[in-house]
Amino acid sequence: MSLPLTSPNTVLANALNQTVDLLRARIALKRPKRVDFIVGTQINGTPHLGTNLTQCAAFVLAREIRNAFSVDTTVTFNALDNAPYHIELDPESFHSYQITYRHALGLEAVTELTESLYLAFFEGLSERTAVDYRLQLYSEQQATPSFRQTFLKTLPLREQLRWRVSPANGIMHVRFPCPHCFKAEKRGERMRILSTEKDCAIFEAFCFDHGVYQAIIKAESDTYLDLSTLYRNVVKEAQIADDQNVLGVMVKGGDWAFACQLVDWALGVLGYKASELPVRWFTPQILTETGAKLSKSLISRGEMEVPSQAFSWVLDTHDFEGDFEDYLDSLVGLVMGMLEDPKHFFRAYSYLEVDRLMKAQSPETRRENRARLIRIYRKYFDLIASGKKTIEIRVGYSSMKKIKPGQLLRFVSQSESCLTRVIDVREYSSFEELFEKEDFTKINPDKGKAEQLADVRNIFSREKEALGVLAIEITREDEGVK
Amino acid sequence: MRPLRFVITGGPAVGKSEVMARLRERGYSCSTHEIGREIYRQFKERLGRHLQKEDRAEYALAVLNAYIVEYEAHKEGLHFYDRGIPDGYGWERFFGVEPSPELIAATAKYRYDGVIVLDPLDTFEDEGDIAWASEREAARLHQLIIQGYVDAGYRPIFVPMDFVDRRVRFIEANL
Repeated sequence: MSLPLTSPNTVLANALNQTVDLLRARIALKRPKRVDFIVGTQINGTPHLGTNLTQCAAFVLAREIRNAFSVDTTVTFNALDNAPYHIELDPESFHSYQITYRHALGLEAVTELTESLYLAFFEGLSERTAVDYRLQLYSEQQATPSFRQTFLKTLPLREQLRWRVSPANGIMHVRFPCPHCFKAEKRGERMRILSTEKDCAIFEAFCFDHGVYQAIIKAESDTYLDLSTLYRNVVKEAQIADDQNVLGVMVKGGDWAFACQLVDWALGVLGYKASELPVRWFTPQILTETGAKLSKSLISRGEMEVPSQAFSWVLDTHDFEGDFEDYLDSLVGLVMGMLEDPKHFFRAYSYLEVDRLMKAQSPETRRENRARLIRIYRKYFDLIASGKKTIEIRVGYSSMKKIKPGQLLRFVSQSESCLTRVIDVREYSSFEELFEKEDFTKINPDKGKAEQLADVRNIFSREKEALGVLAIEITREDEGVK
Repeated sequence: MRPLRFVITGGPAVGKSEVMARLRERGYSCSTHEIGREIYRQFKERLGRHLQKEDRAEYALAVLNAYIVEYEAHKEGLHFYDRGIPDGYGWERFFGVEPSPELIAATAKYRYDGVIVLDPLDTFEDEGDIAWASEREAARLHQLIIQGYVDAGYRPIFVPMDFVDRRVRFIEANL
């Protein structure tokens, strides 16, 4: 969809014809089985527009990349439950000690909190984009053997690494909560490494209530491993880079662009080449009138001007005019509009401009954002647009199996599109069975059954046919072609 | 050779332990540890709990006496102290306790040749702009310690945040 906006050219935008070009070469080189869009968020408060925009971009990008390159795509949401829930000072040394959300609230409550903040939002995005997602707490991620092994791999190189992940003072914050009270020295002033081997490292830490304790990190050990932001990202990206089957795309707010050179330097120390690393996809920053990043924390402290009541929704999205579904539709529409031109995507927006763009979408346009986009060859598109083709055939990818009666499908070919509504979806074990039971004239009125069967065999391999085949019965929803 | 006494001080998380350790490695005469910590542990063991505000006066006096002993123990040449007597002003103000007459008298009697304040290693800010009251307290304590030395008539030398070696070289250049 087109948004009423103008954006200047930039170096990156100038190098791309379409926004999805950013991934074209990486997909061609790696030939991944799947592209995973990874988005991480702290769970320490109601998300504001900037957070939601990044998350929404992950889903819409996943859909666009799937459509553009015919590759399976997913979204992984890392909920950072290691965010500090409480900080107190050691009465002896005055060093800061923190307790994470995970340890303060427990697994069940943290899961409940995360779901209360994000589940409906992600379900709505998943439904609109037909992209599967998984929610992973940091606590779960740090417990995986691959995360721990990657961390262990960094330890022999810590002298070089520490100035990359902490250029100001060289202190790599590694925290192991006290086994008795879960407090951990925030800056690890008294954390010492006692020994490091390939498969095991032993640390010593200090709790101001329970004294000295040891933390043993192995691939399978239970000790909770908490790392500062940059260090955690180095380990996470190295872990993702090691996966030969999946291409990771780190979807991050634009402010991360400045920090990623530190992560790059650190990954270089670990021996990774740039071409092996996950792709970073920075989403537009949301700015105030002064050009500063919109910061809810600074506003709550009175250090940043509060947007007027009319724009309160940018801080608390519940205030958006209309209901939650309207908000999701408008947000998806906003991201789609940004993705239409690389110039629109790789830039920042003031919240005033975002407000204008979100509200410029008519109710009909918003509704259409719920429509799933399906790219199709020109000759079949023309048949659908003319109303002659009312059954579309697809193989049973997991995303295709999500299509349900009543859902809107927008078929797209080159720059034209046509909106349809699903009447029914029928699944068959093979194309032969499908053509036996369906009216082949509704699939293609211009060709005979045998010829059509040969055509689909040219498009879909036997391997893909084995996933099952779908006959999707549709009806035109609007007049003409856009 | 007359004694030459320098205090290394600052609030929490200024990297004092690393700087003291590097000074020791380079052969300087230095305090072996921060006296106040050891006394804190003795108090904690005796009381069976962390110290409360009502314990601070007694604790401050014990720490002051230990600093005086440490001061007098050094007789000749250069020595770096891990905190000094006027640190007491900052800590006592932090807890809302008036400086004791003993502290005022000791500050006047036992003078150091220089005071070196290490700047904090951290800005105490969160990348999400979240400000923790307790972290701000740590920053306030740093400022109170500096103020204590200024009020006691010292002009501290401030050592910027940097590599430990460069901080030590900075200190050496300013002796």
